[in-house]
Amino acid sequence: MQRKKALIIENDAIIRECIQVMYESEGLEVISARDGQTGYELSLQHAPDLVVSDLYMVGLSGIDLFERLRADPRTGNIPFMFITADARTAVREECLALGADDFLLKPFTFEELMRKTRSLLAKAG
Amino acid sequence: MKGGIGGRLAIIFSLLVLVATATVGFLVFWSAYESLIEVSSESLEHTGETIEVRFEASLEAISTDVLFLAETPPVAGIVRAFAGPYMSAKDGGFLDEATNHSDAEWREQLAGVFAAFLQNNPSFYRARYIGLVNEGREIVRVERIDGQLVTTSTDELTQSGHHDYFTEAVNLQGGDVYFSHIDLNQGEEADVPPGTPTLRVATPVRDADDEPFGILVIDVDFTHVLDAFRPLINEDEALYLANSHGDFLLVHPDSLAATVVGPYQIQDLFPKTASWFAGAAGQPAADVAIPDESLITHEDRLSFNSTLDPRYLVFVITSPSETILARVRKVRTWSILITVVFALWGIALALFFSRYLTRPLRRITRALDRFGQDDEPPIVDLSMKRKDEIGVLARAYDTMARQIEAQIEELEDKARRQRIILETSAEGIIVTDGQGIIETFNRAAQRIFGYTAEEVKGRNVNMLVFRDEHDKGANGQVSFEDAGRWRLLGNGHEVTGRRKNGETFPISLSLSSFELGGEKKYAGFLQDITRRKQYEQTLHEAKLSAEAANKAKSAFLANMSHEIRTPLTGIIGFASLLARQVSGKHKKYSQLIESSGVRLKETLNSVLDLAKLEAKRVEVQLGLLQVHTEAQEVVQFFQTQAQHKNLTLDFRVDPESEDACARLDRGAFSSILHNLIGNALKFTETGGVVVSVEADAERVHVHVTDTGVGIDPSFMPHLFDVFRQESTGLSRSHEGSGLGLSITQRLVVLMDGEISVESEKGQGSTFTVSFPLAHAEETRPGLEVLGVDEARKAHSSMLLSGQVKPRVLLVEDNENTQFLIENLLEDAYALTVVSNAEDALLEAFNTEYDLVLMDINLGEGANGADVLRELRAMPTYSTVPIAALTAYALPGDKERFLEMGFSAYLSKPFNAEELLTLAARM
Repeated sequence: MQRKKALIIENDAIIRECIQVMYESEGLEVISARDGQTGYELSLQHAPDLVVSDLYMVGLSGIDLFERLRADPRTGNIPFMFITADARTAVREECLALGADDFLLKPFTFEELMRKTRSLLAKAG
Repeated sequence: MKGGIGGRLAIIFSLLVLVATATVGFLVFWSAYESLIEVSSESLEHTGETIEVRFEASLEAISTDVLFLAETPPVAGIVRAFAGPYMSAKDGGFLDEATNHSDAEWREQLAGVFAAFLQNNPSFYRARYIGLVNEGREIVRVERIDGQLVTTSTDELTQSGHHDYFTEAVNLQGGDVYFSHIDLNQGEEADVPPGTPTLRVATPVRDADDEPFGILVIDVDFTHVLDAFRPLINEDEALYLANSHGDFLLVHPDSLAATVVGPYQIQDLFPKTASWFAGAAGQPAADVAIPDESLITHEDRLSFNSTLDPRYLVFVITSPSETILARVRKVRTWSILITVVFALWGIALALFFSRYLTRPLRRITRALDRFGQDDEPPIVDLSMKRKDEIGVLARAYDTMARQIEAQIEELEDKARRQRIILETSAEGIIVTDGQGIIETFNRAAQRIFGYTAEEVKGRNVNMLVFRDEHDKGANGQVSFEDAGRWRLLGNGHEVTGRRKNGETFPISLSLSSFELGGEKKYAGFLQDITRRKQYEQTLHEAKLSAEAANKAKSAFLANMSHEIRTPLTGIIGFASLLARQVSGKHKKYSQLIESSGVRLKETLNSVLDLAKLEAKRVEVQLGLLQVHTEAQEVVQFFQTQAQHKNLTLDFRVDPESEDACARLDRGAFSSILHNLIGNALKFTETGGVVVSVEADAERVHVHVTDTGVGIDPSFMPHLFDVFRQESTGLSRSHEGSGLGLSITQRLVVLMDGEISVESEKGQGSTFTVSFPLAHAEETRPGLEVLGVDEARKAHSSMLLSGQVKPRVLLVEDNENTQFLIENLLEDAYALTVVSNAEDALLEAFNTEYDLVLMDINLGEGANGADVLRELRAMPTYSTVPIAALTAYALPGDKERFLEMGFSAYLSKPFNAEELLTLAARM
């Protein structure tokens, strides 16, 4: 079975690194970007199986990125999960209402991240 | 009082009395006149009758006398002598052989009888014995000449056989009496004066063979008889008596005779008598003062000797009506007098009565006039004790006056009160007319505006009040006049006022309009709200700053949260990662780092929760939950933890309360129990925790009882305070933020619940939360309607009690989505999946589902909305929850679907939690 490819877009280098290590420890192939624009380009370039993105980023925000990906037929079906430290309920609801596949509030444990990730990958088939 | 009722009454009454007495007087006068005339006529008639009686008596007497004379012996002797042989003149002629008397002797005897007879009857002036022989030559004749009785010598005796009286009388039967006409002596009778009425009375004498022999005749001076009538005639009466020709025989009194007797006959003077005379009526005597209407007359006839042609006398008795009129006039005078007297009396009475009637009336009217004009008390003596209408009127007036007095007093009292209210009112009160001209300006208004009432009365209210600043539509002026147009009528309009010193200030104006005496008025009630406005401004500013502070706090919390979470992510993430990759002591260390991070995260979450609760930003979604099921789930969650601490954790349900439901937010209720059970375990070192559910008639209670350290009574009041733990500082023995109970309590209250605690230090504590019982029928309309179907109801109750799995129909054409939902729901639900509209309807028709999850886009053919319409048309699905699952997620889509009839809406892609929440809620 081919390795699943996850794209991580995260402003904070430590968190980006943390997620990447977690994924790689679980056998996922990881591509990462520190801003939305790069993330968008990488998704087109690599066609990942999963996009995990921060919400607030310089330049293209997580929401912008999500909408852009969903609008593009090439990337429209890629499972997408927001990860943010914004604990307001409204933010979570807005993200899900937009159609994001999942939402993860920072901080999170390894188990929490991996449960959601596995679920998303299973859904995508 | 001129023209008053009294005067008019007097006049009318007097006129009535006048008319009445005049009428009565006239009637009395007239009837008196009539009866007097009648009495006079009767009197005259009576006189006439008396005359007649006397007349007849006189004639009777004369007849008797004549017949007596005829019976004397000489009369028969002479008859016999004349039949006897003639002797000689010397021997006295013939001889009566029966008596042997000569006729001469008989004549002498008879003359003696005659003489004696005449001597006794002065009215007889001649007596004669006339025989048929010798052509009616007188046999004996005695007459009164110059008062001497003279017996005519035989030689001087005359023949009288040619006279009517002889020829008429001689043939009469014996015993009959003849009366001649009564004629006036025209001179042929020398023995009586001319003009004397004379009557001849005769009776026949027959011989032995009853052959006529001659007559005995007496000449009567009728004056005596007639004069006997005079005394019967009253003083002012007159008697006119005439013979059969109308010649006057007697006129009494004599003074009248001169003018009447001679030229006239009786029928000339009295035409009424004309019918008694043969031939035409006499000529009316125009040239003489004949008796006329002024005379009362009585006419009659005196008849005598009916055997021959009627002989009669006509008489008229007159009485001057003047006499009667004089008497009548007396009556008239009397009646006039009486009329006048009665009229005067009447007038006097009328005046008296009118005064009697009108005086009290005048007094009442005077009292009415004075009423209310002066200070004199209007209650005056008004003949109130009278029992008549005047008394009634007076009493009515009195009652009215007293009532009016009382009312006036009441009104004055009211007016006084209103004036006091007006003047002491803290609100300024301005009353204007329809044009806004100020009429009333009370003390408070004077204080507010600085004007005195005198300064503003009569001026327009515009000088005082202005339109408030937001409404500068027109010239900014307020006129009460067009208050309606300005929509100013009503309460609490803010307008601007201007004081006398020019200062403007805010006013709260309540304006009302009313009608007074047909005029429109406006009453404005004003309050100077300068201070209120300042206060409001301050308040507003305070509110704004508070809001700003609150916003800042929220922003701060959000930022803090974000800034703490970000580094924590690294800490927890790497720690959890590390724990998987190292072993032994290092693994333990990294796990400690991770759990510390997690605790920090939980504290952070609690702080945020509390902040949200305090800001009332938490909205609970209440749904019907079976309390014991929810509680059991949480207990289950803590089992592992309890085992780690070697504590028992038991769950008990009162069997009768298994069905108890309450309207709760699942998350909030769960977090309440998490907190309580977590706390119980945390503070319990030995023993265990019991969670029990029971319900009474109104509420369902959940008790969490531990055998832990208990709570010190002194801490009880602070139990639910924020950041409070009983042990603080260095001696703090239990970890935790101290926020849990605060949050718990707020969540309980938010869901209409109550929380209480019983504790004994060292023995343990029991926390109890309770919520109002809710019933499925009330809160789940879907089930309620389905309840019509008994089987369905039974199914519903089984669903609630967890005996059967709810039946869910998924209509979805995308296989991936089908797969996902199947995985998510298959544990708790009996799921049937169809992929097109036709199958969906068929399936829905065959089986009654508890929930339908409907994709909208079903590829070709009918879509989910069409299926929905079909389902909603089926009675069994009219209220079954049908949720829309769709990728249509643009703003407004949700509302559109709900409007269509979907019970819920879930946009794709959705996550597991969302779907489960939705399914559970349904």
